Amino acid sequence: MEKYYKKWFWLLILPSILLFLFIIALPFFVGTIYSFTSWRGTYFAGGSFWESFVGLENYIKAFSSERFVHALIYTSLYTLVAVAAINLVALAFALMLNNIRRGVGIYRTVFFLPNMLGGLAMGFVWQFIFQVVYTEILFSPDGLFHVEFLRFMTQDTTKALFALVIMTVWQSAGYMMLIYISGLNAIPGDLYEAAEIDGAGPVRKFFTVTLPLLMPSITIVLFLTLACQLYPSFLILQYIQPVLCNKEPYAYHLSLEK
Amino acid sequence: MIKRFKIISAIMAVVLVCAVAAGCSGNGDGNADQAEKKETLYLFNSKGENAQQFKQMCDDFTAETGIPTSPFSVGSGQDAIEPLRTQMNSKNPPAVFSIQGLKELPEWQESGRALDLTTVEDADFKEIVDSIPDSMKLSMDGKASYGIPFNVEGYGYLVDSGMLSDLFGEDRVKDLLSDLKACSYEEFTAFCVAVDEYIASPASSSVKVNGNSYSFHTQKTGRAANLTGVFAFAGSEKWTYGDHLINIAINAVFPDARSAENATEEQLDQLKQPFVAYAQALEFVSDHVGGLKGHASRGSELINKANFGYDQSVQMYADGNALFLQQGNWAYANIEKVNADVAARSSFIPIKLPLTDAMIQTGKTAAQMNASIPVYVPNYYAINAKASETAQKQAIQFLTWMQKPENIQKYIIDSFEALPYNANDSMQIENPLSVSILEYMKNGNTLSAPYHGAPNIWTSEVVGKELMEKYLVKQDWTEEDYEAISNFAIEQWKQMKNTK
Repeated sequence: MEKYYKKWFWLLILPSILLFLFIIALPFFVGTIYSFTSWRGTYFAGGSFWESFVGLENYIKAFSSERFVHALIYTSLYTLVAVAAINLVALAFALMLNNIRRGVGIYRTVFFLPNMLGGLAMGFVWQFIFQVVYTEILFSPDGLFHVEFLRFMTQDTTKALFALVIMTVWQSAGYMMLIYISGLNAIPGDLYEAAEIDGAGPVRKFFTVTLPLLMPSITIVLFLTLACQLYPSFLILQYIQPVLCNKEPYAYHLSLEK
Repeated sequence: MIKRFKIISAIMAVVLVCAVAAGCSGNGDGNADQAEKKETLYLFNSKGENAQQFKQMCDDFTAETGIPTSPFSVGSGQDAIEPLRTQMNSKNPPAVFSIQGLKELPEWQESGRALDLTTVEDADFKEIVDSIPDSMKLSMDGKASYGIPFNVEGYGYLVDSGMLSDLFGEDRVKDLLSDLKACSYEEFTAFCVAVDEYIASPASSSVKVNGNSYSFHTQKTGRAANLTGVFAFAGSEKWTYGDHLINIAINAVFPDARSAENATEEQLDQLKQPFVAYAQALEFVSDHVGGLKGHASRGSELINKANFGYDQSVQMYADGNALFLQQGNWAYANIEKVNADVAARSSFIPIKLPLTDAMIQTGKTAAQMNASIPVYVPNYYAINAKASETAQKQAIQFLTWMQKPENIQKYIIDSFEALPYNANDSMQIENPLSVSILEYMKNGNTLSAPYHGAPNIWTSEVVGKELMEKYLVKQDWTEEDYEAISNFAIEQWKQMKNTK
């Protein structure tokens, strides 16, 4: 099998390379170059490419804008909270599933399912959850538990950040859980046995065996959540509730003000 | 097993490479090569709502002239500017495309794509271009003309004459409608307060509108029993107060979008009092809102999309939960879907602000402004100056054909259900909201849409958002709040204008 992979290595990775080049690398490269010009979407303002070259002017404008800086700070704050929350919840799911024997497949499927739901469908589902289920059914004064903080989450600028985090965790944790599960499966069982013989309890085993050996998975999940989770969530929630508009990512702000 | 896996993985790799290659080389139009030979006329339509009808019109044009057409319509409700940019960058850019007002013009003018229609020599087309009223010309300087208006739109408070009949008696409806159109802001608000009190506790009281007295029925009858408030209010849709309501106040200083686009600092300062008036009017409206579960007031609930979104406001109006709905003639189809009778009985009364003559810089009086509704061209058809000479000629032929009186009737009025910019008595217009707009146009009781000349996203994304986040959730507004809203709006306009 190894021989086969070696022989056809380039053919097998060619689709990925082409997709990466044309879908990611090229637009990124072109976009970066255009950011130093007065590109208007269909033409270079001022004439040719060189005539429209503005150097760092676009960046200076962006960082001089109060709205941009506000959006950037909010995006950074959201990133910190979301990445931490996704990692913790995904790891908790993975540890839980790693320790149960029955119905593992069902749980995995259930936790992973939100990942299959994308785009506006998710926006509408969460619009309903935040604005009707949370606000009127579960957490209203006449509801199951009265928790004022969990009502009108998309109508309040502070609560909105947590609304975004809840939605993102719900969608991403199942996917990240799979990476953690494969990481947990790769940890040799005899290490746990040795730890037990040495008298380590569950907490000690987690911090001295599981966590260090899970670092490669943590790195992958950390970067995946950083790279993939931010932009679409903002746009979706912005669509479902305009109060969140102030919190859209800076890239979207730029496109609006162009 | 391993051998099979090897074969499958190799095949998949080859298929994927082919797919990527095909994706990169494809032009997205399978008939492009064939169509090019026939010199197809490519058209871009920004109104996804009439995509089918637009295609039918293009097919009819082809059948009549032999010129093949390839229309592209954006998805219903989808923003048109990005798809248009993509189309412009494609192998077959449209020769006829839409420009949605003055905000979009600079891009197409600067890129050299928008053809100045006054330079076209074709006699029939020249006649059409010359006949476009100055106020409707798509132009930054008032001399050139870059588009043929597709239609006109108007907005105000929609009112159901059936509801007025249930409140005051059928014999008073005509007079009341007429008085509501002409009355002052103070009389209008007194009327709304009286209606609100009647909803809470029906009694045989009366109210004066424009000097005439109207008596309520002793008890709620018919649809009046459904009323929970005076206004159906889409609090979560910031464009309703960020774009349309504030536009009335902007009309006090700028007569049209062009003058707003070229606003001076001094003119912007003159908006101070009109914007205070705007804040007061918004406070009044949001104090008298009808909700699905009863009378509603300002607070987080009012900006909740699940209860106070666009659809819900239309629903509440059509169901008779509220007397007035701030909307335009474009909402007709949606109201008709909920209640065709209400749609058929609806007409406009003007949105009124507590303006004084001293606040108005355009020569109009406060009474005139409060008796007028905004009527404007939302969309123009332009010709791509970078298209081939043949394509440009075909585009001219298409637009000339489209503007023939019989085609205006057949397509714009009957098929697209729009109100043509050049509507006249010879045309059969049955849509009640179009009829209502025409009436205002005939009487000269129209305002413009100068908010189109404000900096991009200022109205909705800046002012509308500020109001939504800070004020519509606040129970009590003070004099300081009016001032703060007005100052914020003016400062943001100045700032955005200077950083353009």
